[in-house]
Amino acid sequence: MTQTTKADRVLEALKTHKILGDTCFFMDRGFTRFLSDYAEVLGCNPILIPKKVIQELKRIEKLGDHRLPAAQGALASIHAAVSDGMAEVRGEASDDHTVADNVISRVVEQHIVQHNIVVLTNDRKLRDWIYAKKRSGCFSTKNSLLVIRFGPQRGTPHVWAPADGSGGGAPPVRSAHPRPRPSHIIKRPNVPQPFARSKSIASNLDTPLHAKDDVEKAGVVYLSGRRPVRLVKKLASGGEGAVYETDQGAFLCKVYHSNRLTIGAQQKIELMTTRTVANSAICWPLEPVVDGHGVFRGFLMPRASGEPLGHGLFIPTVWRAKRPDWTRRESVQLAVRVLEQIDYLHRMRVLVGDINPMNILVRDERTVFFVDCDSFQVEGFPCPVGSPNFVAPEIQGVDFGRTLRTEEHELFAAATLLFMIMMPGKCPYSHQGGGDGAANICKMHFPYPLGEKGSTGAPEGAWRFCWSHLTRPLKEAFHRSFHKDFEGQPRIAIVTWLHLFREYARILNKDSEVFVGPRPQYGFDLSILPQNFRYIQGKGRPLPTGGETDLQRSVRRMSTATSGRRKQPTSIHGTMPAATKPSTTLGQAARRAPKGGVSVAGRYYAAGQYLPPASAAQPAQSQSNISGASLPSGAGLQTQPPPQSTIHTWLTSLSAADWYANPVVWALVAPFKALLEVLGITAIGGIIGAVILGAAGLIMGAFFGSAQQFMFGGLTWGGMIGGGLGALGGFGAAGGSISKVDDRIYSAGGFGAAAGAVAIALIAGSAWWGFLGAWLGLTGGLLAWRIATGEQKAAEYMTTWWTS
Amino acid sequence: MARELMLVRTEDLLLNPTNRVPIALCLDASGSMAGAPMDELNQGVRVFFDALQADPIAKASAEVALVTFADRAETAVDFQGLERISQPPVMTSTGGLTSLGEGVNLALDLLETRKDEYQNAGVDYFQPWLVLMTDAQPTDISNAQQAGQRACDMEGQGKLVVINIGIGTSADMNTLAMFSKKHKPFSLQGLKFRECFQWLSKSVIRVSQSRPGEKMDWDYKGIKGWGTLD
Repeated sequence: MTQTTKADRVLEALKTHKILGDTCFFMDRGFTRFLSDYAEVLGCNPILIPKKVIQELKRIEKLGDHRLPAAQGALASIHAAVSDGMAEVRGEASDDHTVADNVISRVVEQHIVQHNIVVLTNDRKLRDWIYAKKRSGCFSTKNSLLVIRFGPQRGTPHVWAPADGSGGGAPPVRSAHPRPRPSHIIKRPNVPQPFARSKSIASNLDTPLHAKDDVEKAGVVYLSGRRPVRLVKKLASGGEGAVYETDQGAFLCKVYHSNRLTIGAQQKIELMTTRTVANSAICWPLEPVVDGHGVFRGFLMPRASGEPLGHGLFIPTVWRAKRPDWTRRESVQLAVRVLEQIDYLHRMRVLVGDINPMNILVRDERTVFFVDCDSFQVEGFPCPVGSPNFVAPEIQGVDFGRTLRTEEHELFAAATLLFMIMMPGKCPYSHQGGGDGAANICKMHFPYPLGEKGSTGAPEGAWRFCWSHLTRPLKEAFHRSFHKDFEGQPRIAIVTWLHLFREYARILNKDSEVFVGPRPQYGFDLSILPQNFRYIQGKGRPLPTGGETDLQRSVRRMSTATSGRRKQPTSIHGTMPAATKPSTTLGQAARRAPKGGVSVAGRYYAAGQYLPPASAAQPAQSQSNISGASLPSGAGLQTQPPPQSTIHTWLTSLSAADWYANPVVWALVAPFKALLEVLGITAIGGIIGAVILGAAGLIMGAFFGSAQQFMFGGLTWGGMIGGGLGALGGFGAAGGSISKVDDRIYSAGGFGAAAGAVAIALIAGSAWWGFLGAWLGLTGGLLAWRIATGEQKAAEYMTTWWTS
Repeated sequence: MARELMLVRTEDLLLNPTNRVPIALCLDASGSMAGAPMDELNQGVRVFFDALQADPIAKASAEVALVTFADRAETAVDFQGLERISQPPVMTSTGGLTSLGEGVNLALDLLETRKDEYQNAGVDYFQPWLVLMTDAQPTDISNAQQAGQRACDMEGQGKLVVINIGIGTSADMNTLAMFSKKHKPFSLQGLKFRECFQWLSKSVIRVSQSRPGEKMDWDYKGIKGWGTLD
């Protein structure tokens, strides 16, 4: 059977059947791909996931065995799918006492009479049960019952035929228990015999070694068997020791300063050199060296080449000039390569410990070197150093010489490094109004937004744009790593990161998904310092046809803002364009998409971009479902979408941009907002104005006639009141500087109101008409502003308050 | 400020992720500095800029403002990325007075403004530095006292590192002492500006390679080669 027909059968099954999913299916690495490939159909017909599945995944996560990364990946994908309307979690109280397989069996029995049902599972037992039931005629129905699984070889989904061969031969056998491990865990280079786990720190670490010989002066050290190694040239010297070129060609020698020689250092190197690391990316100690008296002095190690990350990519403006060919693709490849090394070390039960940009040398995106390997944490020998920016909040300020790090600590450092590779050089906790690095980490204020979860204080400029050009799963992973909400929870595993970055690489390698250059286009900007937010076709603000880039806009806005006015960090919601703001959910987008046409949703998913949910209807199904806190009960399958009024659905499907992009809506609503905002600010001015006008009215009334005449009188009074309204317009103009969106909006509105008021009052000769004129003038002014600045600005204005 | 420069300064903040070390050089350009001292000082500043630009991280991290004071205080260079400045402007002595107080106030104002800009942009920074050099008594004593108090307050809150240096024997060390409560003023003997600025640049490089919040051991020992701790 060809791939195409397989895919067609899957698509057909998903379209025409109710879909139930089993735990092992979600843990397969193909699941993310499955979601993106079938986004369109799943958007209309979501996968029904028993809550028991979530509970099982959470249990696996807690156990933390080899299935942990797959379980984490599954939870993340399910979360994304649920929030995008491609999956729904179902369950009821009785489910708690059984396993997911049983829940699925029960639901199938219950509903096969009314529906076609397809079960997503890799579990052979469940398949056999389903087909056995079907064959035995237990179900007196003609409805179709199918099983879909991921093929063990290619990892693509296909309809899984019964074992007896009816309807296509059974695929090669793979044991269903224990559950299959994703193949990316299996296909990794072999590591040497892992080191022992150690819970306690080695003793005698600091006992000094007494060395008398000045080997650096003598220029020679010895390997075992008194083979001499000549120290040819000093390459570098640091706090611990010096690194020499040797006569051994490809090998360098690190010689510790004599006052830094300890029993601990010697034992650590002796332990490390019991393993041969056949991985050129890791400059692992090869052999200890001794002086003429046989005292330990240092070790031999392979030579690295390249430039430290801290001198290269992490100073992106310089790197851009040095490596003009380096794009986001290279950065992602570099991240993958770095992750592979960390993964390799972790499987040897070695922790890097001091992950930092000066310890990783980069020759090109596929060739990296981990140096300073004698600082790695091995068994009971700690990594004695740490760079504050990479130290997890829970161990900030501890004495690393006396502390063994855990893998969780390492995962924080790795996440920080990955963040700084993708947001070249920027620390995850740098934010507006922030303190220094370590203080920022302790506060755990992660300033970047994630879909519906806004955040404040993201650094101005390229960093916001960089963030918007990450995939949704990557953003979620960074949120899990850094956001205070996830404090104390397990961090993202290295293999999960690898999976996410490889997926990102796959997307970036599609030319249709990417572009280069300062002019904004749809898709991912390949530049490492993008100049624009990401634009998504059919979503948020449309592509601008010309004018300045988002970066130029930020530069202009920031340089005109006086320091006094901008003391407070601005809300990121206040400055992000509608494109990155919460908009419709993917599921809704898919439902709205014309049947049979190219679904926008499908394309987003192919791009790996999970659009954020925002509507009032959706949040209830996002985070809380995953935690199992507020599950909708009743496993009953529904033929109809969840009961919602059409108006409600329509309203929630409109994004802010859609809503205010309509000029009529704008003309009706904007003046109210303008009035509210201006009145709020010029309340004091307004009171003063009212007192003056009132006083003037009393005096004039005393001289010229009755109060009635004042209210409804002739030309003079109308003109005067018109003038008063004009003054209010003037207040508006003065208050123009308060709008966060555009200084000119209140000038336009204010002058429009003033002109309108005076004109109509003069023409009609009555104050009351003056009010109407003011309103029309205000509307006209705001409309003129909208025409001049475009609909994104308008939407941005309507969703941003001066106080935010 | 010229709009062009403002845009450039802002763009630096939006594209360069490196933690900044802002350094305000506040230098005496009064009449007494005319001639050889001024030439040496110019060369010293040049050495300083060159050394910072030679180090990749310091180049991205250090931002230098240059304030001179004589009859009036003037901003010769305002804070901006070092790669923008190929070489520092050559200073000339401009008048008879020594408006030291005005100079320090201007330097601190520039620092405050830049710090606000860092905060608004979300750029992390290290403790700012004030490097003050003079060879005479200030002619604006009350200004100098007020500026001294301001510098000491900031130093006390850990928001400023003050390096106050008296040039030669005629420098008023008592006045200079007003600018720091943490240490006595340094005395620069002869005209060893170059060595002095070399030491300064080394310290800046060390700071730029440390990480924010990390405790710095001050390399005060390094000063022994060229001056004395008064």
